[in-house]
Amino acid sequence: MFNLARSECHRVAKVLQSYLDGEAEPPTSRMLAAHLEVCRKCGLEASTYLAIKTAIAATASEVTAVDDDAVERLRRFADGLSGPQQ
Amino acid sequence: MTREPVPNGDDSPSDRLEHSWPIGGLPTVINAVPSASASAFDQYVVPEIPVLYRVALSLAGQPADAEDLVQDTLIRAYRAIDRFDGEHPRAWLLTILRHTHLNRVRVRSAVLLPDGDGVAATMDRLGTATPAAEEIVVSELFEAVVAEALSALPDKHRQVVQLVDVDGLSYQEAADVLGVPRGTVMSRLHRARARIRTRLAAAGLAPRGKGM
Repeated sequence: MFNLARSECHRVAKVLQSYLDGEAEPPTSRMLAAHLEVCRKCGLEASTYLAIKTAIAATASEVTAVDDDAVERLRRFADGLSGPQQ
Repeated sequence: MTREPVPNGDDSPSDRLEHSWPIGGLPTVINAVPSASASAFDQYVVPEIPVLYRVALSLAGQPADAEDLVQDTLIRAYRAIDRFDGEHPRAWLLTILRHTHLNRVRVRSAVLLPDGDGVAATMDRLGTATPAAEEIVVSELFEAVVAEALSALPDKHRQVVQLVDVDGLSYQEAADVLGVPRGTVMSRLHRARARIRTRLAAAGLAPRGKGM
């Protein structure tokens, strides 16, 4: 039983990041979700990587406010390209 | 995934000056495209502008360069829209963006020394993004270590992390932007995050372990 659990932890380690990125296949996702429910070590690892992803996304929060103006200018630019339709 | 032909960025000298056009100040030849193409442009291209801009920021580093890059991409997409089959518009546009970026870098490097501003620009952006609330000291520290570790990554790894975690691209979309296989995106991404995790563990902010 112990070896079986370790083997599953090893499989989880290989696909954990793909799972957190929403890139794992459905059967793999189901296996991971079930494993993370019961395995504290892998659950902690998943929490750590999720926190890293969240922190990285947060680093862009300040840029996003500036982006709105640039995106609006680019939309107007695109309108200038396609605007004068016959 | 089959793709329509994409403008490859090896354009005539006149094309290389496209990015200097002011917004709204387009050559009349651009406006001569038939209205059906204009409609396809509005349908497939315009909705992707926010994604294109975020990705351009990751590639170009500076907001002004990113905006120019997206303008050039929009022009190339408009010219090629009548050859686009309507399948996977984001992937098609990201490939045009990549070619346009490479072309701009090539043209620029012919007249300027490389400025190597990618990491510096990232650090500037990260430096202004630290949350201010003092009651979440641990969270601040966590994010600061992540930001520092991110900026210390090799450019190739940092770029993949930004494309996926900041810009929200899928693995395949990031692969399209970078012109590498999906597996390369995965390996760079996983290695990058493992390095960040190692830094966090060294700071006592993550459990020690071999990483995943």
